[in-house]
Amino acid sequence: MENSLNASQESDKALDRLIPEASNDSKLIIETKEVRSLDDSINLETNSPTISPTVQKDESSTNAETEEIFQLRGEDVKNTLSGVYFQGVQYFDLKNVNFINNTGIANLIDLLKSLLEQGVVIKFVNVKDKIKTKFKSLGLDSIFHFS
Amino acid sequence: MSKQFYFDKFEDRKPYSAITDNKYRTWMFQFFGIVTIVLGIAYLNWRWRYSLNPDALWFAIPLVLAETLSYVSTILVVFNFWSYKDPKKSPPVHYLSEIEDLQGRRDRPVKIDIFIATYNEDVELVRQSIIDAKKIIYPFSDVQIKIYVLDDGRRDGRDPAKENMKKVAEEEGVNYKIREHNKGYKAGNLKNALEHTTGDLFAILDADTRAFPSFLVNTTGYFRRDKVAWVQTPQWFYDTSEAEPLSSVINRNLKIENKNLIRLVDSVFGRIKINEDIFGNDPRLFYDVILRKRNFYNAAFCCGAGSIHRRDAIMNLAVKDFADGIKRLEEDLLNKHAASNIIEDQKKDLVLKQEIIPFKFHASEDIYTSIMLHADKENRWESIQHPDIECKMLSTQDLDSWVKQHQRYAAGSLDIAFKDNPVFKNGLTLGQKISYFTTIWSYFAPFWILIFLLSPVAFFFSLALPVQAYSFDFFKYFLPFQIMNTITIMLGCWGISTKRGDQYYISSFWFMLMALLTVLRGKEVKFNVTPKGKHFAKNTQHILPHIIIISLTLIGMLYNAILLYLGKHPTASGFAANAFWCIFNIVALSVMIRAAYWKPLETDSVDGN
Repeated sequence: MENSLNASQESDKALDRLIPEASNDSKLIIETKEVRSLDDSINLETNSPTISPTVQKDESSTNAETEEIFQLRGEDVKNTLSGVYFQGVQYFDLKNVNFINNTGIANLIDLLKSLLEQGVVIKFVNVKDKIKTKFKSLGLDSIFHFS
Repeated sequence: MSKQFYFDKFEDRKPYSAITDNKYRTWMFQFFGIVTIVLGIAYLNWRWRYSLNPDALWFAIPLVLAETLSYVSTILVVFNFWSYKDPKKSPPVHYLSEIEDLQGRRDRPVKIDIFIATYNEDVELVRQSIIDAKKIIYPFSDVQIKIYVLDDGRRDGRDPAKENMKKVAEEEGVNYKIREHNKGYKAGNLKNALEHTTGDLFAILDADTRAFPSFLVNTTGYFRRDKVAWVQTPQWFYDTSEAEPLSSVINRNLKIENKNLIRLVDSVFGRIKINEDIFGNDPRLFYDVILRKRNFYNAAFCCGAGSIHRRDAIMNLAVKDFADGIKRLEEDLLNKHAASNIIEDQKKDLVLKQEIIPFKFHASEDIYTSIMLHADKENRWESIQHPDIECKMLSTQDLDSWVKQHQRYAAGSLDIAFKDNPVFKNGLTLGQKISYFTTIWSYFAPFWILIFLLSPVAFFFSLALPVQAYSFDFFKYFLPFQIMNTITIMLGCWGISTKRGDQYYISSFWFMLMALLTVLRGKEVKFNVTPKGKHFAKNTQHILPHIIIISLTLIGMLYNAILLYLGKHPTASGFAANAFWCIFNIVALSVMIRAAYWKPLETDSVDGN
């Protein structure tokens, strides 16, 4: 089955080809932003010389490490992932994602649901085995489609 | 000038120190506990086989059954109190690598969020909690600690009739979060918070929870053990009513003004103290003994406030629950249609229908979520009941609020028992199952308490004895068991007075029975926000059953006393035994009547909503 967790290598290659092509067509692109950094702890070091907690306004996160993409809930995941839209399917490239925690997975579920409401199916490409295994262990392999 | 509250005068109260574990006392408890269980078996064996009065089985059977059920509680207490096993304390964490496996990620300081959940509490009361949260210290300046007021009352200024919680949050410089509905009540509020925050650890405080500066320093270290999912700290109510000399109460109520008379009353009654913790609110026995000893079985549950949680644990549960929910819906569909292509077609709807819910949407979201985390076979999450007090809270100040709060606890736990009983929950260890069963079992107590309360009444009016005779045999079996039981409880609750707790255990029979009926009738258990203030609402409805039972008991006693006087009473020993038991019952029942009409000396008021 094309959208199963263990997709064939052929489809991987096809998608690798597809992404650069699709990226050139602005009409097809939903999101092609670079992965945004999310860690907002950097500013705090200078702002909090005391040992009391720094009380801050809730602010949109900026400038952090890419490896934390999928730790953070509450961010607009669509803006943090590279992706292309092609023939009713939104492809997201997870080649830079080496780690995903449960909050990150919850984010992806939110993303899946929000696009599903618009009739868009999600597929992830270049997914590392470690991450596939994690999805499987959580029983999400029948919900998420990897190619 | 800041707003005055009734509890301002208690600001300087100091919390109790946690009980120091003593292995010799524990051994003694275990020894006496086993002896009590053995003597209980002997007593009940004698009761069932030899003592029942064949002429009054209608009376004898219910009573012996009640005694047997009560004995089950005794066994559970011995099991539950078996031993302390306080987890090792560690210094506060600094880096993420100290609390979880980085799996190749770059290290960074941990991030901690502090949630203050509110719904309708006085905003100035919440301000105090915010101010105290801001005073929380942490030894590492690069650890990001953010405070969030989670206002489910949407008091963001849109409704001029409401106080403005948002303004208070802004004035205090903390974050403010609302949502446009109240789905899931507190659990829903926390869900919303977790969707908009990023802390690796998060603390849950209620609107009236005032954290001490050491709150995080003393608790985050436990998370070095990567399976620790949450740490619960004791909830300490710093506003419980103070003890006052009986002489003051007499002088005040009788309006005695003569100085000599006042001196006389003082000299006679001055040493007797009454009215301490009139509502039995002091939860020390619960936190310092019951819950803390559950560390031994990794079965201490979260109590909803004054706790700190590992985000990844709760999100793991939420994600798994999401996947399981879809699987269940799929199975339901399969059973209906038996065609997998139909399911594929409808899968989109299933996914959209399902939600990610970190804390279970339930009236007892704290205990239910604890059960689910404990039952996770893959992760084997650990819970910790921290022994020391790290925050202070307000207690209910009138009987109506008290009853509603406790009724919700009872109904919530019973609802779990009927719908998703932990005893049958796959993944829980035997110790955890028995511990959760103990909590649930305690809410069935009104069945046997009611029989104990009505037994003397039944005797007085029927003159029938439930036992063949109050003979030497009765006392031979009964007394050793009761004496050993008393010693066992004393050792198990060392240093804590159980008087008030015992009284409320009996006195609570009616509202607990009502909670049981609510659940049995299948009614939804609602999450009522506990008012924190003084309301002096109509309390009579809660004590009517108590008044009826006390009245029947007194009338029965009078009737029997007359019969005795006339020489027409068939069993004087029966009268003596039941009269003794009645005094115990009346004292216990009267505590709630007293609470219903209790008012503090100064009636300065604070509104809870």
